[in-house]
Parts: sequence; structure tokens; C-alpha cells
Amino acid sequence: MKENRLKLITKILAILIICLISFAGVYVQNENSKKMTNGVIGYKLSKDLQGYRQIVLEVSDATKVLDKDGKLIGNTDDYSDSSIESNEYTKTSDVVNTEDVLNVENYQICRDIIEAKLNNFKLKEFSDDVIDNAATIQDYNISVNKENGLIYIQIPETSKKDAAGNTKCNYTDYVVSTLTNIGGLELRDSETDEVFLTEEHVKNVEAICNNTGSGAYVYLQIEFDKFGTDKLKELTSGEYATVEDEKDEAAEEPDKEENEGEATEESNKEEKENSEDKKSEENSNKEKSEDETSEENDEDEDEEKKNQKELALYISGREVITQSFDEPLEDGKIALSINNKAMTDVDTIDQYLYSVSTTATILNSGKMPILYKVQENQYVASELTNNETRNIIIITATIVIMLIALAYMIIKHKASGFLSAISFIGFVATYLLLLRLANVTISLEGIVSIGLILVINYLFNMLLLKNKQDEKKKLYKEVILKMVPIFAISIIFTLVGWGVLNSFGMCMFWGIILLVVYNWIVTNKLID
Amino acid sequence: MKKKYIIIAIICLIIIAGVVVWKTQGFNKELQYSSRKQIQLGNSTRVDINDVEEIYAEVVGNDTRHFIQEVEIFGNSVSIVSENMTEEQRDQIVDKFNEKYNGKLEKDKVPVISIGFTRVKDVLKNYILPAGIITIVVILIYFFIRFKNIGWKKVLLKTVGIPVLAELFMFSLIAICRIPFGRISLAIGVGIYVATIAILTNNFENERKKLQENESKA
Repeated sequence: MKENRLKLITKILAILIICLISFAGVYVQNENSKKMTNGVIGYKLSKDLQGYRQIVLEVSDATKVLDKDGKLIGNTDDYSDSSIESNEYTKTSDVVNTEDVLNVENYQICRDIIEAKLNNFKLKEFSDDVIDNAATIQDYNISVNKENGLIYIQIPETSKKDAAGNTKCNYTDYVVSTLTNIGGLELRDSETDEVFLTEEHVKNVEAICNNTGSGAYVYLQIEFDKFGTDKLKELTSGEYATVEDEKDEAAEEPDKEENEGEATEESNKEEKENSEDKKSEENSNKEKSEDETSEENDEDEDEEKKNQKELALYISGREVITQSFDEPLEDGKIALSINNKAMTDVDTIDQYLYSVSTTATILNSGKMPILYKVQENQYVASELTNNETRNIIIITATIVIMLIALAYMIIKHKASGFLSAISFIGFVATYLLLLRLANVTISLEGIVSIGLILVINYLFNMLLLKNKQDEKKKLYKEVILKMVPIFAISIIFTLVGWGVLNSFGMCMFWGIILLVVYNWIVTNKLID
Repeated sequence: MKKKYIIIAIICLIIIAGVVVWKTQGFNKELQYSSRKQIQLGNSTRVDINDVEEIYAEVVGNDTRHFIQEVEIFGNSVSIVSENMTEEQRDQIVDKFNEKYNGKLEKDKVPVISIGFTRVKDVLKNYILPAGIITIVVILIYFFIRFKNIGWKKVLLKTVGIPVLAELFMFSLIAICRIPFGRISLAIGVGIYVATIAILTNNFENERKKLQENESKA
């Protein structure tokens, strides 16, 4: 009898300790600040409960900017007055957004493209680091003012963290960088500007990392659709194929290709890398003799260049590469190499991959008919949780409801009801601790899910109190079977990339697991 | 049995009324999903949200829906989001703000930003595929296998019909009673959907048990 009582007291004490850790925390002195800080991991809250990045985009009033040769190179949003002056560019009075494009239909198209960017956004990475909160980037709110085209966006503040928990990059900043980029892709003749292919013929764009023995190369791979593939094959095997003499020159002058456009075909990349060192040595030896013969060859080269037709690739209205092709592109894929030398530093590779992933997102989401600029881009605290009085009222009301329910349990089942009530409080404490340790993001849906789990646990405890010891196994089996559908729902929601439902699913998933395990180990034994 | 039909009739009537209200007046969307005006006030010192709340109440009044948010993490800037705000009201708010904090905020540098509303279909579409379609299909497959003795027609009708009716009933009440439609109501909507599935499972399990007992008796 005494032994049983001791066991019972030990169990109750264990529950109380869990309650203390979960509700009050474990305070330890910080070595640096000498302040007492809570050692228990904090709650991870969603944007609706914590805060979010608020971005306001307005229709740009930028005018076109031309280079020395009168070629369009951008707009006044891209170049400051000082850079225009120093580079001898010309600022025109032609606005980028003409009157005819500023209409409700185009405002809506821009809104939809921005939404596509938010949905498509994914930062590819080389390292195995964790992208903290990445799934919740889809937890956005977007609206457009149809009178002036102003677009308002809310996205969660998200960062990428390494294994040690240090922030590596601000995920949200990369997302923001895609929003005003107009997008679009064109494959043109470099001389006549005749457009052969546009973004409409693009099937998919993605960032690719090719890891060779000497290091990694990052590519932007553009895959065209059926029409695009056929057209590309036709162009690269026809008049845009490299003229024989040029091919020889290219072999002799490996640096030339790099200077021209920082891009080659992916299949040629490895070969080029291996031969690079040898060629650089050869080049230095040949330098002198080349100088002597260069003057004689200059005229011939100019002539050949005139005959050699080249394709120019434009991304977001800017020329990225101009080149002819040694071999026809038959698979409809163009891979633009971003780095000329193999990279070995993981952080550098990641930075390149982030940049290319951002471009891929822009190209996969479509071309915006209107140029926008950022009017506001700032972090804003949630208005749902900034009212302390309201928070206290909600928490107090929840505790009161819980206490009434537990009082009913105690009145109805006396001593075993009291023990079950203690177990219930222990369940709440363990559940809240588990959600923090499992790194679950708590959203409003997550709170509803927690509420549901607590109700189910209460009903289950009442059933346990009603049933005799020998019937409990049967009861457990019944309850587990009854929870199969909602457990399936929780898994589906957990797998959904959308943060709101993900939070609901995660809270429910851990709740159901804990409910079965905790009640079997703790409640059941305590009531006995 | 009669009672059951009366309850169903009442639910149907509420749903019809809800649809009528939704079609004629729409939902009473929460401010985050409605058309709204926004201004931002900043200072070099700390800004107290309660002070700004008082200034807003003096100028615009508390009848207009609004909220005040802290901007960035330095505590010296706030954003006022209101259902309606004129430029004159903005001027008065800036004057009172300057007076309170000895600030030099210029009215022209505090633009009144007009934010458009969020469409209900844009808000709901993310819930429809995972919550509405995928889960129902998975649960139906499970129910068809486990409760085959109940009859597939009954299982299908109840599994699809009851959650849909429950959601329609909830959103009808929100439309009729002019309860703000927004993040909290949507979260409760998801909760009701899962709770309905849990209750349905419980009922089907009990029915299955009864049928098995009857079969064994027979």
C-alpha cells in the first residue's frame, strides 16, 4: 500500500516537473550577458501571429535609358542619374509604362504573375543546410488596387539557417527581389533583332549544379517546348552554326568565349575545364607570335565575323549572351554557365545557386506587362497578438473553460477523476513542449488543431474513467481505429507545402501520437 | 425521426439565407482582406501604440474599423490601417503625432496608401485541393473498405454531404450574422471539417459494430 502511494506521488511529481518546464521554463544564466534566460526552446509562430514582411508595389513612372549607341539598356529605376552621366547614357522622356498598358486587366495579370512567383519560389542549394520555414513562404496574402494598380503583399519573414542555427541568408529578401523583375525571355538575331523564340515557348527553367572532380559549376538551364526545340535545332544547325574557321579559332583562343558572354553549352563545359590549364600555357607561348600575325589576320577576321550570324538571348529585356553554335542543340535545352572557374567553397556555390534559382523563378512565372517598383518593404508586427489585454482575456478564458471541464471530471469520478485531471494537465504540458521541440510552426489553424486534440484527449480520458481495467485494451483499439481518418488528414496536411495547413497537420500529427502514447503510459497507470 | 427532419430543414433554410446574403451583400471581410487605407508614422524615439490609438480615436473616431501595427523592430515606427481615412484626417493625425512626440514629421511624406481587397476565391482556393478534395478521396477509400457492410451509397452520401453541409452552415451563419470573414473564421472552418470527419468515423464505427452484433445474433 505504502509502495503504491510512493509510486503515485512520484508519478504526480514527474507530471508537475514537466508542467513547470513547459509552462514556466528552465532559466539558466547567460554566460555573456549574465542574465537569466529561458533554456526551453520558444514557440515558432506563423506570420499571422508573429509578423510579416509587408511589400507595397506601385506602378513605375520610369523612363527609358539608352547607351552611347542609342540602344535601349534599361530604365531610370535601374540607373541613377549619376551612373547615367558617368557612363554617358541618355535618359529619354519615353515612359516604360505607356498609357495603353495601364488598365485593370494588366493590373490583374501582374498580380497573378507575382502570385505565381510566390508559389514557384524555391532556393536550390548545394549544401545540406536547412531552409528554415521555407514551406511557409506560400503563406502569403496578395491584393491589387484596380484603380491605380498598387499591389499589396504580405509574406512570412523567413531565413535559411545552417546546421548550427546561424542565419545564412534572408529567404524573404530573395523572394522580394523577384517581385518587380519584369521577366520574359527572347532569343533574337544579334544584328537584326528578329525574335525567334519568347517565354511562351519555354517549358521550364531551373538552376542546375554540376559537380565535377575539380569543383562545381552552376547553370541556368532553359528547356523549350516542342516548337521551341524544333526551332532551336533549326537555327543552331543552320545559319547560326559556327563557321568552320571560327571553330578553329575558338580552340586556339579559349578565353575569347568567356569574354564574349560567360556562357557555353553544358555538354562542352567539362571538356573545356580539363583543357583550360593546358591551353593557358600554350597561350602564353603563342602570345608573341600571335602579336606579329594579328595585324595581318585582323581584316580576315572582321570579314568572317560579318558573315557569322549569332543568336542573342535576352532575359528581362537585357542581353545575357550572344553566340553561334558549334553543334546543333537537339534536346531543346540551353544551359548558361554562371561561373567560369570551378567552385569549391560551399557558401559561394550556394550564393550562385540562390541567384540562379531566383532568375529561374522569374522566368517560370511569366512576363509582367507593367513595370512595378517597390514603394514599401518592411517588417510589420502582427495586429492579432499586439493587444496584450485581448491576449490575457483569451488565455484566461481558455484556462477557465479547461478548469470547468476538469472540475466536472473530478466531481463525476472522484479520486480517479482527480488523477485523470492531473494527467490531463500533464498532457497539455507535454504536448506544448513537444510542439516546440518538433519545431512546429503554430498558425491560427494550428491553434484550432491543438484545441481539437485537447477535446479528443478529454473525451478519451472520460472513456478511460468509465471503462473497467480489463476493457481498456479493447477501448484503446477502438479509439485508435476511430482516429485513423483524422490521422490520415494530418499526414496529408503535413505534406502540403502551404504553411497554414502544414501547421494544422503537424499539430494534429504530434497530438494524435502523443495522445495514444501518453494515455497508455501515464493516464492508464495513474488511474489504476 | 421527425425531429431530425426539422433540424435538417432549419439547416437548409439557414444555408439558403446565407447564400442569398452572400450573393447580395457579400461577406463582411476582416480588415486585412478589405479595401483599406494605410499610413505610417515614425519618430526617432520610441512610439507607444496606445498613444497612436488615442490620436486615431480623437481624429477619426473608434467607429471605423482599424488596427495599429508596430513597424520593424526598433519600436519607433507604427502603421495605422483603417477602413477609411481622408487626407485631412491624415494631416490631423500627423499634427497630433508631432505634438505628442515633438516630432517634425512632414505631412507630404506620409502618403495615404490605398490597398485593394483580397478576393474570397483567392483566399479559399488554397484550402480546396488539399483540404477538400485530396482528404475526402483518401477518407472515402478507407471508409469504403472498412464500412463496406454499411453500404457504399450511404457512406458516400454522408462522407461528402455532411462536411459540405457543416461548412456551408458555418459560412452561412458568418454571412447572415455579419461576423468578420477572415483568418480566424477560416481556421475554425478547417477545425469543423476535421471534427465532422471524426464524428462521422465514430458514427460509422458504432453502426458497423451494431451490424456485426446483429449478424452474429442471427
